[in-house]
Amino acid sequence: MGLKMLKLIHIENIKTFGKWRTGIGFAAIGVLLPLIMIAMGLDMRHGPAALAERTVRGLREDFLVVGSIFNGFSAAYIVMNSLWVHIPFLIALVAGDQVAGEGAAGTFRITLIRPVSRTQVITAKLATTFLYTVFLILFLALLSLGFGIAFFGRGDFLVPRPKEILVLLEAETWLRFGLAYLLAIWAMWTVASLALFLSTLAENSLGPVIGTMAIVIASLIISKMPFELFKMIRPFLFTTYMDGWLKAFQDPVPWQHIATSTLYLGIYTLSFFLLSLLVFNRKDILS
Amino acid sequence: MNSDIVLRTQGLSKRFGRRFVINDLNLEVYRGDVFGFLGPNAAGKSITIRMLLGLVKPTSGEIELFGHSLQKSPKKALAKIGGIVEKPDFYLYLSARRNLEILGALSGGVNKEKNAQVLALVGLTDRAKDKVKTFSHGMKQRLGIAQALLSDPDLVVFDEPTSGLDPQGMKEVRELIVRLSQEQGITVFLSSHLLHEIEQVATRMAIINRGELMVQGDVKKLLGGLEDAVLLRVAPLERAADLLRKQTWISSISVNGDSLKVTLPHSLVPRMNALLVENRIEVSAMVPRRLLEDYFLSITGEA
Repeated sequence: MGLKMLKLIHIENIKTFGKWRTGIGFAAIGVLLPLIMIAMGLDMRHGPAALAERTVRGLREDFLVVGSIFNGFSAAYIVMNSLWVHIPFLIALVAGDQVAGEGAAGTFRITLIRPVSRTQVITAKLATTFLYTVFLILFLALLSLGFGIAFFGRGDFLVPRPKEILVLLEAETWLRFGLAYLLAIWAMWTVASLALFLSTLAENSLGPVIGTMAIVIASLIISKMPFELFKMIRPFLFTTYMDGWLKAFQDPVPWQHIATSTLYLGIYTLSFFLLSLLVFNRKDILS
Repeated sequence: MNSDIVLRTQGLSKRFGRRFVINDLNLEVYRGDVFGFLGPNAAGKSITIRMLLGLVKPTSGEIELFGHSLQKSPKKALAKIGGIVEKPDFYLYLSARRNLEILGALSGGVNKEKNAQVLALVGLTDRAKDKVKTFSHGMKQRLGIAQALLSDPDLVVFDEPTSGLDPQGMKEVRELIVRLSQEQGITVFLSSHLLHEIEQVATRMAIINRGELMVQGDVKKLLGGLEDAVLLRVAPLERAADLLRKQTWISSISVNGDSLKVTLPHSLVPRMNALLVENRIEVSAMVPRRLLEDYFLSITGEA
């Protein structure tokens, strides 16, 4: 990567992280996570009706479970389910604004008249969006594990899975969470590149955000519904491969499945990026 | 005049759908020119400027800047250019200085001294640390000029640079344009709908209408044959009209409501005034009117 590219990425970082909308994701996680942990703590007082208990209800039907099987890791695991819809929304909020937001603000009229290629601009924007995604997921990891352990303690992690019992030793659990968050970042990069691509098509940032979420939610619905037609479509949806982080908690770790999902997500990310380049390089700046 | 061509368009056209907004435009701007680019609303001025600066892709035709094809070598072509396209928009949540740092970096790197210099040039030194969202339109316009000059350009493209400025600000910008051209040898491409602005500062000009070039050339040559018109408020009107009609050095006279519109060379206006006074005709108002407007309207077919 050349010096010029690094400079462009630095510029995009200044622009992106200087915006209030970039802080929304961190603020949402920062405010909601402690609240969720407090709510979980209060809920625990309700015994079998508690959310924590409900997550392992399946286990109690087949196994005799004594004592508390819910700890900070369990809480962080529950919070990770936000990776399906909530975190993609926070990512789309920033990635969807990268091109469309500048178009609407009219700032392309002072940047693109300079000796810098549009390919470099889009590449820098993608890199910045990826960086934001990393920070957001790390922030989620830090807070969910931090607050989870502070509220519920730590220990071996009983993975909530139906009809089977899997207990990961604490030392192993840290590694599994590390792997899960890495896979989550990889999956969210695909969402980010989709939002960036839609951003190159739009003149304001609302469209790409809504568009990204519509695609993610519709794809998730198709992925879950047990119809033959949907089964045929499923292999072509990137959301089908977004479950890598869940696989990190299986034993043994299904590396083949993870590698395949990672490869497919990489192909989708690259495709969205190339489409973004194609559209942006041909785009007339009329705003 | 230096015959170096810094900007040339050949057969430049832009089509949106089936409609050509620019059709076969051939422009030539020479080094050192203050090139006035005139046209009525929707003539295609802004689209042309956007094409010249690489914001809009031409449907056909060539754009050459400093001998480099904009389509084939955009980085080389844009390396020596600064510009403002329509109203200046910035990153409102960043300071003026931060905006210039970003734009300077995009231009290949500009040092702090240069940033300070251009801010001082447009009188924004005291507001350098303030976020641009706190700026008035006039201040943004001045910051727009500052960013255009940031990378020591050889050609500056100004699109309505005095828009939104108060009369003093407009005067300062016009003086700045003349200074840039005369003292620093910067070529200026100036789009404006203010005819007198072009007349005051431009050395060459082009008029376009409905996307087509109507005329292009030296301002003095194009306007040189034109005479001034003067609107006179006189009493008695009919006697004044009869008196002036007898003068061979007056080109034309017409009654325009309660005034007389007299066409004559500019140098003869004092002689006309003296003649009226000598003949005891009361002159209550004498309003000069340049015929550039009439010329423009006749060229663009709007008359």
